[in-house]
Order: sequence, then structure tokens, then C-alpha cells
Amino acid sequence: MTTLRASLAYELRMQLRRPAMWTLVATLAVMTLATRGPRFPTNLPVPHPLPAVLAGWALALNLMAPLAAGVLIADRLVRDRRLGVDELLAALPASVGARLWGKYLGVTAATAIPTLLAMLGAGVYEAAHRGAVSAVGWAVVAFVLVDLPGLMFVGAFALLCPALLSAPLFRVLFVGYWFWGNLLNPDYVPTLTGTLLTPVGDYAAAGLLGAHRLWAGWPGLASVLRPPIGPVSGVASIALLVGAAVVAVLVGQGALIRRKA
Amino acid sequence: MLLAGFEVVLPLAAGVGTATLAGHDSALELLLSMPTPYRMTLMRRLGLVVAWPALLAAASAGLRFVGQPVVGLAPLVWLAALGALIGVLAGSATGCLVVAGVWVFEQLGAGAFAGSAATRAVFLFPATWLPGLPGWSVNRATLLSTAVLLGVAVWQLLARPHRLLTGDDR
Repeated sequence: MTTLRASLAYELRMQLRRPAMWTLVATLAVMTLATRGPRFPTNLPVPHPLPAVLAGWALALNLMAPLAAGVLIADRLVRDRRLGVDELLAALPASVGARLWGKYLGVTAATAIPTLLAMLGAGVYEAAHRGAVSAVGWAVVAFVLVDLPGLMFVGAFALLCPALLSAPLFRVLFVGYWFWGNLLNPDYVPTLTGTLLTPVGDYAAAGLLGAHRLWAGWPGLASVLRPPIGPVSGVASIALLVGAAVVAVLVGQGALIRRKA
Repeated sequence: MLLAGFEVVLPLAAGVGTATLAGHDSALELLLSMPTPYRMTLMRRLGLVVAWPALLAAASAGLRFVGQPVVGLAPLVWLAALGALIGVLAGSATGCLVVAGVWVFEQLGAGAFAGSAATRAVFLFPATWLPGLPGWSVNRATLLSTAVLLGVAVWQLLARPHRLLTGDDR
């Protein structure tokens, strides 16, 4: 547990001190605001359910934030090998699993913090705009239900896949996947967009908090993975995303233990 | 669809590739001690990273628009130059993320870019998202000329390569 805590704290601090993370997440947030459409939360009428408004904010931020998270996390695990400290760390009494989980939780938490801060800002704005202090609480709820599962999903694969692919190749494939599997109109090409496995958080936002959907439940190919929008499908989407992240880290842990042996 | 991929996917690969190369090199100290200037070495390597997708992009232009300006070359060169510039200035991860952000932003905002002549001139992927876009030649010329400017900026920054000696990727 000490190893996990130490590894988590170190990775968290190291990621938080990267100026690139703050400047680029802010840039991507500005890009999100620049492309806002008629259903963007700032354009919703004032008598509108607060959960739906804040879920709309969470969904809008999640269009770009996980992209930044994935690109920034991609070099975290391979970095140990590149810097030549892998063998040194392996010689420590600390277990491989605890170090990997600490690293995963630390980098994911660090890349989630800018989104959390942005959601708190949105909550304060909506509280003032709509005259309801509870908007700040709904902002936290929307962050946990909509943004966090997607960030956990992206964080797990972004941490582990570069060990197989190399960080630059993973980044190219990941950016392509992000557009194809989360943002592309399903009528255009067969895509994972709008399915339960879409980390953008469409099902959780629409099914649990009543936000306007992006593509969740869209008819067409892969419709088996696009059940009707509702609380059950919202919970199923969260469970699938978090479950896939946990399984990915466990598989990575097994692979690292085998490599060490 | 395949031809759209040439215009859309290859520039992303080139941009991430140049950002990665320009932002970090494990053997930088060694290369700086060589008689060949580092910027010559890096420019040759960047040229190789851009050359092979450029060949594919040129081939795609031959398939789709015989007699028209090259479809995928302008966005490819532009994103590659941007990746190299940000990579030199701020490191590989930042360069990759800027390239990725611009790439996704332009995919999502295709409709908004069609609105005015100024935005049409800098839109990277008209053949895929806005076929028949007016001002095609202006768009290609703008992208290629600004890519050259970005390349000149990279060349100037590399005149003092010791600025790249920052240790780990930022």
C-alpha cells in the first residue's frame, strides 16, 4: 500500500508540474467553446433542469479533454525504459503491480484535475446564471458520471498500449480512434460512436442526467451496442468503461510480471 | 473513403512524426558534437518522415484529381511543419498534442470553416469535408506558403540547438 501511495503521489505531482498539460488542456477547452452549437449549455433556456445543463457541460468538455489525456499519458510507462530506470525500479522490494496501479491512478487523476476544475467553473457560472447554488454540486456529479469513466478508460489504454506500439504510433492511432470512435457521424462510416463503449460519456450524460445526446442510441450498424437511452444503459456504459480499464491494467500487470520473471 | 484517408490520416501521421523527432533525441549531446550541424541532421530526418506520406498523397492526387493540384500534400506539409515547430519549441508531447488538437478541431469545425474566404483559405481538409469549395487554389497556396514560413522558423530555431538540451521531454 505504501508503494501504491508513493507511486501515485509521485506520478500525480510529476504530471501536474508539466506546463504542457495546463496550457494545452486550456487550449482544447477554448477550442470546445469556439465550436459550440445551438445545444451547447450556454445556449439552453434558463428554466432548464440543472442536471441536464451540467451534463451538457461535462459532455462538451469530454469531446477534447480525453484526447489531451491520452496523448500526454502515452509516454509515462515507456519513459521508465527510455531513461534506463526500469531495471533499477525492478530491483526494489516494491511490487510491479503496486507501482503500475500507482502510476495509472496518479496520471489519470492528474489529467482529470483540469477537467474537474473546468466543471467547477461551469458550475459556478451556471449557479450565477440560473440562480441555483446546487449547480456546483451537479457539476461534481456530472464530472464523476460523465467525464471520469472515459478518462479512466483512456488512461488505462494510453498507459499500456505504447509499451507494445511505441508512443508516436500510439498517438497517431489514438487521435484517429478518438475522432472515428467518438465524434464521427455513424451514418458516414461504421463506427463505435454512440455505443456503450464510447468514452465520451454520451450514454451517462443522456441516460442518467437527461442531457441532449450526441449519437447514443443512433440506428444503423453496431446497433446491438446502441441500446435505447435510459438509466440502465447509462449505468451499463459506465460499468463497461471502468471494467475495461481495470481489465486492461490487470492484463498489463500480468505482462509486466512475466517480463520481470 | 480510401482517398479521403490519404488527405486526412497521412497529415496526422506526418505531424506526430515530426513533433516526435524534433522534440526529443536521446543522442542529442552526441549529435551536437559531430562536425555536421545538428539542424542539417534533423532536417534530413524530418524530410524522410515527410517524404513517404507525401509520395502516398501525391499518388492519391493522381488517382482522384488528374490535372488538379495535389490533394493531400498541402495539409501534410503544413501539419508536419507545425509539429516540427512546436516540437522544437516545447517538446514532443506538446507538439503531438497541438497537431492532434488542430487536426480534430478542423475535422469537427469543417462547416464553420466554409463561412468566409479567410477561413476557407486555411482549412486543411476541403477535398474530404467540403468538396467543391471555392478558392481551392488560394487554399493550397496559403497552406503551402505558411508551411514554408513554419519551416523557416524551425530552421532559425535550430541555429541554437543547445536550447533543446532540456533533459526529459517536457
